[in-house]
Order: sequence, then C-alpha cells, then structure tokens
Amino acid sequence: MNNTMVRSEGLSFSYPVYDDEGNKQGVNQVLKNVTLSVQKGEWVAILGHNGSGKSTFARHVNALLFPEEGTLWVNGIDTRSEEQIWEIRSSAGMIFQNPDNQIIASIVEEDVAFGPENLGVEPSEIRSRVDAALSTVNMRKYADRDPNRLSGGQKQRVAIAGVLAMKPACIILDEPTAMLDPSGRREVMDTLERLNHDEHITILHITHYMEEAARADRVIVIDHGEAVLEGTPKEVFAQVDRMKALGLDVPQMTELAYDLRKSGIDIPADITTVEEMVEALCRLKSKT
Amino acid sequence: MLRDITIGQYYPSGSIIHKLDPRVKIVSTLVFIVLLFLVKTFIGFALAILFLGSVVRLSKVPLKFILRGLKAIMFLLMFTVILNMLMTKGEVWLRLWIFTITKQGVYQALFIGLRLVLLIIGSSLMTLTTTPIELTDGIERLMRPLKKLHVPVHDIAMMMSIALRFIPILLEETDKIMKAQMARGADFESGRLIQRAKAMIPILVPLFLSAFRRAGELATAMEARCYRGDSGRTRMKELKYKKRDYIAYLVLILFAALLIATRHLPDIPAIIRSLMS
Ligand SMILES: Nc1ncnc2c1ncn2[C@@H]1O[C@H](COP(=O)(O)OP(=O)(O)OP(=O)(O)O)[C@@H](O)[C@H]1O
Ligand SMILES: [Mg+2]
Repeated sequence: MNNTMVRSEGLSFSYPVYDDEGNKQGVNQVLKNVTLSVQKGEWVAILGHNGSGKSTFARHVNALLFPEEGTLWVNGIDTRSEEQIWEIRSSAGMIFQNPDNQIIASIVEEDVAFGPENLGVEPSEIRSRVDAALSTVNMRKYADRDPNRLSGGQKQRVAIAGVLAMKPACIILDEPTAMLDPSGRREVMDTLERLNHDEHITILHITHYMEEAARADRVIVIDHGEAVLEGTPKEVFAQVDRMKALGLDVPQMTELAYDLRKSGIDIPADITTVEEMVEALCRLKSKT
Repeated sequence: MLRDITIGQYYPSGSIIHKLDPRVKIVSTLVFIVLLFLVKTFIGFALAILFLGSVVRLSKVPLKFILRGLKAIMFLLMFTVILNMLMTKGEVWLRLWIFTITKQGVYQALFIGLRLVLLIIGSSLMTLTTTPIELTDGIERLMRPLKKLHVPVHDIAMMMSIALRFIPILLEETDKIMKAQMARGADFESGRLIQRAKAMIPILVPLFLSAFRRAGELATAMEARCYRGDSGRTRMKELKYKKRDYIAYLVLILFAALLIATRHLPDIPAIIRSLMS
C-alpha cells in the first residue's frame, strides 16, 4: 500500500446530459468500474481514442472531480476526504494541454510561485523552490521573462516548473505535447524523463503519440471508460490487431515489424524504436 | 506583432525612480494631481514644473517617450485652452471680430493648459517607470485596509493581473480571426459606421467563445494548483518599504507644503506691479 501512488477501485463516473430546454435527460457514463494502480516512481502512459474518458480520469486524480462509485486513493488519501483536498492537489500536480491557459502570471517566476503561494509557503522558501524548479526544467535564465514571448515547449516547461514548486510526488499530464511542434515535444519529453529518472516523480502521461507512450514503464489503454489493456509498452504494442480494434495506432516501427512479420520475415513483434528495428534487421542479415 | 503590445508603456532604465516601491509612485502621482488643482499662481506652477522636471531627469526616461502621452490629447488640450481664453469674462485686452480676449481669459487658459500637461506627464511617468505587475501589487497593498469594509481587494487584484496576461493573447487572437475572415472576403475597412460595426460580429462571436473557453480552462488550472482565494496565501515578493521610499515620501511632503505655501504668497504679476508703482 505504501508503494502505491494512485489506486482506483471500481471507479465510475458520469456526466449529466441535458436536452435543449436544460432538463436532465440522462447520463453519459464516462468511467465504468475502473480498477488500476500506479506504483511510486513509475511512468505510466494512458492511451485511448477521443472521448474514451482519459481526461475525466486525470481530473479524478487531481480531485477536480470525485468518484460516483468506487474509491480513488492518491498517495494513500481517499480523494473524497474534503479536508485533505489541498494535500491531494499538491501531491498530484496536473499539466493541461494548452500551455497558454494554465499560466497565470505575466512573469515566469511569478507563475512558478503561484502554487506555493496558494499553499501558504514562507516567502524565502518559495524563492528557493522557484529557483530549483526552474533549474530542473532548464528555464532558470527565463525567470523574469514574459510567458507570452516563450515558445510552446518553453511555456509547457514553465507549467511543469509551476507544479514542481509544489513538491508533488506525482504529475499527471493530459496531452502535454498535443499543441507543440516536434522540438517542443522533445523538450517536454526529455524533461519528463529527467523528472522520472532523477527526481523519482511518478508520471501519469495521457497521450495520443505512440512514440511517447513507448518511453513509459507501463501502458494502460482506456476504451469507453474501461481500462481494457495493460502492460509494458512492448506487450501492449505487440498486439497490433487488438490496438487497431480499439481505434489506436502503434508506433511506426511496431507497425513496420507487424507488416514484415505478415509477409513472412522473422523479426520480433515487440519492436518500438528505430534503433531496435535496425538491430533486428542487422541480426537478420547476419543470420542469412 | 500584436503580441508585443504591452499594457501601459514601461520603459526600463533601472533608475532610482524605477526602483521605488510602486506604492510610493501611486500615492505620489495621486497627490501630485490633487495638488495641481490647488495651484493658483505662477510661482506655484514654476515649482510644480521644477519638481516634475527633476523627477523626469532622475527617471532617465527620454523626453520623447514622456511627451508621447501628450500627442494623444493634443486636440483636447488646444480645444480647452482656446475655449477658456475666449469664454472668460473680465478686463478686455484685445477685440478681434466677434472674439474678445480678456486678461483673466489668458491666465485661465494658461493655467488649465499647464495643469493638463503636467497631469498627463505625471501619470505617464508613473506607467513608464512601473511595470503593470508592480502597479497591481501596489494597488492591492494600498487598498488592503478596504478589506475590512468587505471590498474584495484580492479578487480585484487577481483579475487585473490575469487581464494583464490575457489581453495580449486575446489581441493576437483577434488579429488571427480578422485575417481568417478577411481571407474569406470580409471587409472591415470600408462602409459606414453601422456596416463596419456589423462586420465586427463575425469577429466578436468566435472571440467571446474562445475567451470563455480559456477562462474555464484557466479556472480549472488555478484550482488544480490549490488556488482558494487569499485565505492562507503568501507572496514570494512581499512589498517592503526601503529607506529610499521613506525619503521619497519626505520629498513629497516637502513639495506639497511648499506648493500650498505659494497660495498665500503674492504672485509674480503682483510683485512686478508693486515694483513698477
Ligand atoms: N464537462 C463535461 N460535461 C459533460 N460531458 C463531458 C464533459 N467533459 C467531457 N465530457 C464527455 O465525457 C466523455 C469523455 O471525455 P474525456 O474528456 O474524458 O475524454 P478523453 O479521453 O480525454 O478524450 P480526448 O482524447 O479527446 O481528450 C466525452 O464523451 C465527453 O463528451
Ligand atoms: Mg482529454
């Protein structure tokens, strides 16, 4: 129990559906009996097609939404315990898709300070946390800049620093790279890698990019509000047919391996990166 | 680009005036404006000009930037001056066709003009030497006593600082939407006022929709970062008066006292007259 960061048991949630007059018409069951757990220090990628309920689940972890049925524990705390809501929100920080709409202040360091200020941290302590957080995301030299003049990747790193300054044990990122160009995406992914590896921060990463999911320790696939598939990236992506049936892609290299295998070439099914593909092909060549 | 528009017109020069606590600058500007309306004599205006001139010198802001604020009100300024000159009754100096210019009229016009110019320069000096964030911080701190009267001081300050961050973003978005509509053949430049106003509707609707979406997302993001109003909130940079701020207040008091004293002194024309007689 002590090693679990997030544990959900039988979690269900629905949004009310209204008709044109504003009368409640019914419910849209978005999460159905979700049971899963994430260990401390783990990097978990959450996949699922549009509207499958990923963001809704993420909001539960940050105690922005509360389970209708079932229970969700974050760092051992039931998210429904109202007195501890700030503890939950600061230990499980959240990063959203649009970097513009989550930066509050018009100076980078003021924005990073926003979280600890809300927590009532001492001014001198805030200062050192802000400096440390900005260094961690390599944005220290932009401390007194206007966020409006940063690139998308830089803004998203500022947002990450803002969460880091609250000293979270876990960060939930809801499609953090969806609005970024390839270099911005790389910056964010490298930052996540560092956070997970060096700072041992648990990462829950919702993404539509399979190459990004391949860098996680574990992948959870959500379909129509249910956790349907789970395993290491290799285990999950090797099931190409199953993934396609769920409306998802697999990394390009996995797809290539899949096609090669279909045409009778003996190559592992669980290839996810170009390097692995090159290695497999070289091995194949040296065999023949 | 529209994103480069900043609110106000901060001119960083790192001078002593820039370094003053924003509260000092806000209070001084307000006091200066009030004092301007108490000045009734040439000596008083000379003193005010001397004071403002020295502050401008200390601020190291180029005169060009300081005078830029005047350009916008040039027309208003001329209008007021001329109107005052022609409409004031008194001892007639000059008669031109249907216009009469009186001595009182000239004095009045001169004083009003000087007052307006000093007022504009004084307040633009404040925005030139203080960043918008410092200004909101300063206003929040100055209004803090009003909290006891249940004025939502913190919320107002938070709104101001969020507006500061989002106005450039929304401006840029307006630009984008306008270009998109123009690419579809929309015409914003020609036509009468009403037609032009109508042409704005396809811009305003998407703009408002996006602003509301942004506001919703921002509120969620603030909540996720534990925002709960100002209960138990601390600040990384709490405003603190330093020695130079006390000195500035002292200078201000001295200036105010001198200026008020000039009201009770004989004015220059009176002195000249008594010398001549
Ligand atoms: N605030 C809301 N009110 C009502 N229904 C909502 C609300 N937010 C989401 N939904 C609905 O809940 C379902 C799940 O949405 P959710 O945002 O969790 O999906 P998602 O997996 O994050 O999708 P995406 O990949 O597009 O981000 C969708 O059918 C959506 O229409
Ligand atoms: Mg989503």
